[in-house]
Amino acid sequence: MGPIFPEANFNLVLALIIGFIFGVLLEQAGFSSNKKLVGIFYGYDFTVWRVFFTAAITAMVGVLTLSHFNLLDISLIYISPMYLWSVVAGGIIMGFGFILGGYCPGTSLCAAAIGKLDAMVFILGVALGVFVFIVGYPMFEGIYLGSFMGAPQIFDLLNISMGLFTFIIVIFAFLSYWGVGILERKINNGESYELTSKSGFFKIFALATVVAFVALFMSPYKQTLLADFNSADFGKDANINLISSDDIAVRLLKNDNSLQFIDLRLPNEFAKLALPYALNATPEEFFLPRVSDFINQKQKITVIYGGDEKLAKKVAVLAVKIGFNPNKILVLKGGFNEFMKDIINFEMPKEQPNSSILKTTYLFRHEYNGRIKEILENSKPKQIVLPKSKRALGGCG
Amino acid sequence: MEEKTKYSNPYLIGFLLGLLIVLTIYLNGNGVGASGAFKNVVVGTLNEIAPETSSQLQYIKEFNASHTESPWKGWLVFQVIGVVIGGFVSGLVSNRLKFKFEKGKNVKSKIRLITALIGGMLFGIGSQFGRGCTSGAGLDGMAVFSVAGFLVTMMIFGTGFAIAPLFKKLWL
Repeated sequence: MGPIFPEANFNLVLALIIGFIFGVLLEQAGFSSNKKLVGIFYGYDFTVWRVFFTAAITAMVGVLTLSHFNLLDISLIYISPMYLWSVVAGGIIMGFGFILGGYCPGTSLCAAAIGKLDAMVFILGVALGVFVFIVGYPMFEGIYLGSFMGAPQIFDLLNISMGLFTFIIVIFAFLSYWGVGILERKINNGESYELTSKSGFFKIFALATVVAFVALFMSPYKQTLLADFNSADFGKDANINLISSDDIAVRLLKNDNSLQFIDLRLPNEFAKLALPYALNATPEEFFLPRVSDFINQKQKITVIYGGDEKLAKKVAVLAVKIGFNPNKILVLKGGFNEFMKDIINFEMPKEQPNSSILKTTYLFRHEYNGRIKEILENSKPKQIVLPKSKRALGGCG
Repeated sequence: MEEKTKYSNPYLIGFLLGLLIVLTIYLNGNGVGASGAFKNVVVGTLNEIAPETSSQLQYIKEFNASHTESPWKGWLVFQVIGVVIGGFVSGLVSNRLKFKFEKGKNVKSKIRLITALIGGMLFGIGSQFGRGCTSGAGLDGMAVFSVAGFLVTMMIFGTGFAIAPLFKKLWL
């Protein structure tokens, strides 16, 4: 599942190839000419609008599709952080730079590559600008790091689904193409840079509408699964293997290392007492490397437990749906509450047990509950290990 | 008008560009970009030519502390080298290679020189505040539905539309 190289300065040859394609596309679009680029601002050439918007919606549909089919984990990709006033100021400054300079940094490289001397001067300017920012950084730091709002995504801000947002923007894009074509003709006395024939355009528009409707019904796999997970019936009929408190107690006494534990309770409950070396995690974290690395380590079998067994059972089903091996996942029968009641706080019942097995069990519990409690106490984590995020680094600032 | 040169269909180019961005996001969780490479190059140059002076600068200190590898080895630097080669090859194939000072028809060369330099500088400064330029912050940002991506794109183009009439003489 992507991203494949989240942490890496990944393969630099690949970077070169991707850059090469990027350069060819920009140049073929005509972005090696400043007249073509600023055309958008004076209305005589909307090529920038067409290319930029089409690239954006294609990429959005692509990202949505990949995450729908669980090929891309959108919680791991780089989402540009939102420093409100820094973004606003940066955008305005760049707007001025665009009108004055006639290029943006990417396109200036293409233009310089085909021999545009003014683009070479522009490139020098960009480097100088970055230098000015670096030298003046103490002055800019306040606004640069101020008004931080996390890394919000637009569909959350608008409180609609990712699919609905994609639907709206794809339709909007194509209506705008129609609009800018009219504008272009008006400003150029009948001439337009619309290179698609009228019938061709309607064909693309029809296709885009279909794509938009498909997008409307897609949502990231993780989100779909979590929505299912939160429904009452989730995992009701699934067959999950249980392990009893006594079984675990025996293994603890024998120093059996084949089991490892995931504790779903709240952190404060977990801190009080938990099974040895358990990982305290939320169901959502089963999508993250923190939990997946834990489950996948070595040959261990993972026992999932919560206060009772209900949540743990659902989480076990979720884990299997995410793709963990069902044979390596167990759920603690009755949850940690029952473990406390039956083992740690065990009290010999007054009436005689009616079977010899039960009698042995009671004797075992009575004999060893102090020792088990000791094992649990001694294995408490010395310090809380913070989850290590593998979200892609980077950005372009 | 001057020479008419044939460019590709913008929707096709946009579609392919979109696919390229998806591929890049799929590979490294990040998209394409340009301005980031400029920063790497500037920091790298400063580290080379004036290591003592530049290590006094707060920004460089923080940059060097948060980057273990040499700034020259950044993935964006290589990607930008690719852009230049790609642009050149494309220009070669489409017969557009030519040294030329491109400017509006009533604009003096000196003016174009100054505006190109100032425009570049503004883009250099602005892309730091915006944490990326039109491609790295705008296009990639929109691809992953980031609010910052949409906002910076609207600010760049919105400002452009708003002030275009003031600078009409530069281009028309």
